[in-house]
Amino acid sequence: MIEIRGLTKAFGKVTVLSSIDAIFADGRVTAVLGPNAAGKTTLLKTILGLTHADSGEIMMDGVAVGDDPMYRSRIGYMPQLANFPANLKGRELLDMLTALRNQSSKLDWRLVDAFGITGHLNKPIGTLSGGTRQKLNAVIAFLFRPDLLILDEPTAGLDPVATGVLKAHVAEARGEGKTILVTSHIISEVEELADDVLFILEGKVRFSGTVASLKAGTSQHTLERAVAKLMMDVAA
Amino acid sequence: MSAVTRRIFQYQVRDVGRSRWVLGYAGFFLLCAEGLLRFSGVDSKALLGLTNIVLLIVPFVTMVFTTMYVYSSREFIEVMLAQPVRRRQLYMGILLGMCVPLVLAVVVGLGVPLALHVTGDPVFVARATTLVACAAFLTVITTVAAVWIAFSVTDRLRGLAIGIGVWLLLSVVYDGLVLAVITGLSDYPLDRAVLTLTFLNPLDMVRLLMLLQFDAAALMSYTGVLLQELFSGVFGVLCIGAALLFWTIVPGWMGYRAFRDRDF
Repeated sequence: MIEIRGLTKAFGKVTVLSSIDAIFADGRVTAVLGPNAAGKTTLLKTILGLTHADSGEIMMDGVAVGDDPMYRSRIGYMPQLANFPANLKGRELLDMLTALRNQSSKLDWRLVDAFGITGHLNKPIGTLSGGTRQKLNAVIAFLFRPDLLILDEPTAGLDPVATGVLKAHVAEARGEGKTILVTSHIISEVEELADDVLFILEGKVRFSGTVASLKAGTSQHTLERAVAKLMMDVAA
Repeated sequence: MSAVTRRIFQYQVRDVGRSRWVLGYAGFFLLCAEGLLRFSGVDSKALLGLTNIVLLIVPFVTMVFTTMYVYSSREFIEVMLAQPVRRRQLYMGILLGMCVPLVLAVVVGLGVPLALHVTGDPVFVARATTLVACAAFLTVITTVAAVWIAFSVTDRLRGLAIGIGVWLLLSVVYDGLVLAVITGLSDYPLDRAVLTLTFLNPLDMVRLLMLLQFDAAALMSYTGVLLQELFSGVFGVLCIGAALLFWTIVPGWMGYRAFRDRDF
């Protein structure tokens, strides 16, 4: 379980996150939604420690993560852009991460087969297509069977078949009790996956709760319409 | 070196070493050194020619290659930072992983032809060794500076421009300024002032070291004589060593601070 308390981050004069409080429960998929530049990616990166928060804290299972990088051994991260060193082969990158994490057993290689990219792992990553790189990106996120999955626009650049494979994998991870955070600007895409919604606008939490309660609260039938209603209400 | 740093280092070396630019860079020195030694003869004239090439090319190529490489590995760095890795470990891995292939490229590119043509002349051997060592030092200092720039400046084009600006300043403009000071104030005893100015520019330090090797110090007028006296002894070597170390450690530390505090 991840808990965020009073997370604040400003880039210069622009406040990107303004005192964010949130709890992400085990065995649930939380969709982090919001318009472009709402602070979604910054929130995810702050949880990972890629971005330093100005104030606030991040608790993992009730313990503040602080400076110790070891908590990240329990996180799988799929960044928005899947750019890796062009000269390295996929296999070498995976080997390096395995060595870095010091974890060689209990690895989840199933996505490699499901995506059918075994052959691509022996090519330099620079020669792979954007979609294949995104598949590799997903493989890395799930490889270590992490307790917390952070997926930033995971389906961007994936074809429908690969998107289906990834969604099935996310659903399975949820079944195993993992905590899962997903951002997407295509709201209909996360609808079938998400249990909870954290809606951020201009760095503030505007809604936090289950998908059902969001739909009920805005009296809309689809998540997309509910979010649109939410944005209009805030603007009004 | 921690196990994490070593692994990052190993992979970085593999990635950089496979780059065609680094291979081409080594090949360039191989051709230059071989060509000069073959057509100009195995003597100090060839070495002086090589020295000029090294002083001009090494800082420029190292600066441009390193800044571009660090900028293009931004996403890779993000992947690494999402792993249970300390920023200090990642920084050291990246820095060493950039330095070692580039140092190897110049050392092999210059060293192999020099070693093949080597004669029994101890002066030639000493000069050739100094040349290769200077090229290696220049590479290290420039790499550290380039990594510092790349981690301090977010925008790739601005970073590259600053890198080239620093190179231009240290290798061209600075000498002009020093020369202007010397000629403009030639009525005053400026030996120590010029010496201080030289120590402030790592490129000048290396240039000085090479010129002293070639007995070309006389060409540098009265300061040259003073410099030769000062640097011929152990004290001089220690001074230059300390200055080069300073120019590695201080930018290295600044680069680490920039990397530690950076938001990705």
